[in-house]
Amino acid sequence: MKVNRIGTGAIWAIISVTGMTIIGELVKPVKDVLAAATGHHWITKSVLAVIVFLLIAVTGRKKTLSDKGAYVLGMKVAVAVIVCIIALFAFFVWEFLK
Amino acid sequence: MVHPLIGIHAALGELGAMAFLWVFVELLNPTEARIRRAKKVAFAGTVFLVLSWMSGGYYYVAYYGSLVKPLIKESVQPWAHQVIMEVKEHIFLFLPFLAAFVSSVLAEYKDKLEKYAKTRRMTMWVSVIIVAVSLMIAALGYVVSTAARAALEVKAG
Repeated sequence: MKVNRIGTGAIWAIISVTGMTIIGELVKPVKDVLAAATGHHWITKSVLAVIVFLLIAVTGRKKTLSDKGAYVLGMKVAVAVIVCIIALFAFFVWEFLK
Repeated sequence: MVHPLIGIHAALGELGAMAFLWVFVELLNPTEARIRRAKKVAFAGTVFLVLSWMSGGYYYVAYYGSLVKPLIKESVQPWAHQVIMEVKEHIFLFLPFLAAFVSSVLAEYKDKLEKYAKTRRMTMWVSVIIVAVSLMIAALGYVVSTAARAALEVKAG
């Protein structure tokens, strides 16, 4: 497996967890489907995130990155994590206060 | 009584965090031997974080939802579940992917990291993020546990 595949897989897995979580809270039927699929919404999100990650890690574009390329990918991973953490915090605070 | 899975989950998470702190330190001034060690430690850290994910997830699904969540939601600190736990349970899912990424960088670039300064710096940054997020999750867990204990004390009168 190549770094670019794993990095891209990590980015999309993180975004998919955040997206499923926020959409699931806003659209109740989505959360119901997530919960019904495995018996618990959290398990379904975990499984789907792993599937997204593995799909990209196994089938993504195979490319050896240069020093700068690997750096840029890592920064994208870092930004995705920070933005998704802030988004989840902001969303649940807003949900609680509204 | 505190469920042993909480301790196992926290301990594995802390071991994972320590492993990536170790990776960070090894990469400060890398040599071939340090990079080789960092690669092994990152792999171990990834395993710890995956096991922490599984043990925490099992506790969350099997016990927290039916025993602890209602208690906190009915207490004077419902935000401990509705904000803190909700954020914690989802942010936690990020860690194994980040750990796998750092492990893959160390595996693929082990022979180049001494020369590839940018890739080395990036690996250190992502390792620091893993440590910071792990510590944040531990702090969030502390808040949830404290809220649950306070709710139990009020209930017991």
